[in-house]
Amino acid sequence: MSGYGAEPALHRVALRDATLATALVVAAVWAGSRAGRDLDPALLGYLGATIVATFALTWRVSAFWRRLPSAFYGRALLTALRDPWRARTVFHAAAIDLGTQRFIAARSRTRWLAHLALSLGTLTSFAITVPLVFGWIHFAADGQDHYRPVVLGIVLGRFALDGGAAWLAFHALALAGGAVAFGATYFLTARLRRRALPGVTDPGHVLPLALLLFVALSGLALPASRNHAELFPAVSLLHEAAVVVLLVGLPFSKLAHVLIRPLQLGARVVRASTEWSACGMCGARLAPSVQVAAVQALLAARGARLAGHLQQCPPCRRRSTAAAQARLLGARFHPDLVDTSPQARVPDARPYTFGKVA
Amino acid sequence: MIGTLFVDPSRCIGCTACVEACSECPGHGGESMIHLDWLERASSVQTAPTVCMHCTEPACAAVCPADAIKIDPEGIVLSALAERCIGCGNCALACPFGVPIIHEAQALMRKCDLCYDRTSVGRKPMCATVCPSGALFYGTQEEVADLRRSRPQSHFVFGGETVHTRNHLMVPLSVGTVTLEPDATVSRSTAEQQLEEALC
Repeated sequence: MSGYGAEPALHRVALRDATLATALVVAAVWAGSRAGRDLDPALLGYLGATIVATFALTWRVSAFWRRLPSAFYGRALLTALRDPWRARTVFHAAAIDLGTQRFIAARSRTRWLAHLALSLGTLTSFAITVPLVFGWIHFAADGQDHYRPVVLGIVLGRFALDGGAAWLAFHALALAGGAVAFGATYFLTARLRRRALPGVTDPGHVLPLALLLFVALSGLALPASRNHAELFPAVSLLHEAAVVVLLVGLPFSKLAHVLIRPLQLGARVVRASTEWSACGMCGARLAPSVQVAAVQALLAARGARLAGHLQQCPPCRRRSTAAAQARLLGARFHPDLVDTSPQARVPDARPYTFGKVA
Repeated sequence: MIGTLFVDPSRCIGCTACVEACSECPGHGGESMIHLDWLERASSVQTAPTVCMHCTEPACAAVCPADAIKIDPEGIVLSALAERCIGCGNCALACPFGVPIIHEAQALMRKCDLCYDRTSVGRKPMCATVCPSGALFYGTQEEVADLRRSRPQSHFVFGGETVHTRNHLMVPLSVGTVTLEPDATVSRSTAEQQLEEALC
């Protein structure tokens, strides 16, 4: 399959952004872990993969959002965020589109439930593990039955091992893993059910889901295998290997769509515009004027000169094509409205006949 | 190898068989991708089916901010990828044939994909399978030339732009290129619009 990806020149700027972002993350890890003293040696593999993923993700996001069609909505989003009144529109759209993901519910309720579980589970997992991997948070034992959470080198209270806070701290990742396993299983099963359709079971679609499922299941197997000395190292190694592959491959897999979705907020901002263009033919509402102008500019940048036709609504465009054929055949549906000038018709056009079979 | 769809609106009898069959295509999820429009509802019963013409350089894909519209190696312009599409409507604005359907609540664009799941395995698209009048014919240039006194045309001039398409429109033998000027096409009065809305 081919498409319209980022232009080569954009990748140079994106490489600069990726280098800067990676440097910032490394500096934040260094500072947050007190010059590496709070880093957990068991998590260094995850740390390396996260830093690589930071570089690759920033590079992809930067290059993608700088593409001309994407940049229009990216700019609309940033401009709206600078205006307190319009920023409310953005936050509202973010709550609806990114928070509740209502647009997926409009596609399918079960798909929405599965996607919500998968996305929230994944984000929760990252929110828990990234600070641990970066050495920003660790837990210090305080006697036999208490723990002290240490955040950026600062001790923040203490909690009992048999309390609710301890239960949540030690099981939140398992709950998130369960949600990811449910979502990934749903989408994998849905794809396998439709395997007769072309492209549905392409590796590009199936492998990221299978990898997510494996990460979730192996993560759930970690606490289950901790009392089996012969099993735990193997499970731990498999889980780490799967997470590293997931992180490094994330920017290049279908899961990278999470980086594109915020553009939808830009689209909502544009659609909320009060100034709309009308169809030049029938007067129907067409689209926000700024969007019509942007699409014209985008096409013009590619050398396409469709300006006049972009002022028509889609139904009028469809009628125009059929009417052009009818005119070539000599049809006159409405003599007062059809252009019958000589240049609008071919000299030797045959009389129009309906349903003629040769 | 995927064949070509030949569209002849003058043959359309408005039976809506294509619309119903399109929704039965396994890849369309019960939704029809075909537009069936009246040309001049006030003065004629003539209808016209519109399917995607599958432009060789599709404007819809060029303006997509999410790069959601992919093109198959055989030139089939596919529906937007559900995980990418943000439902902005750029594609619907750019398409000179008025094909893409935007579901704003779903943030999703869908369009005719020439029944890709069928045509990619050598079967006909659903619409052409059921069209009783030959307004939608699927096959080769040779086959359609044997059957018709008109000829297939795939070059469309929109103002200053020539669009080349994979699917063809049937035109008189003498016509080389189909020219569509915005001001020279059939326009609708307010009364016609109201009548059409009432009838729809």
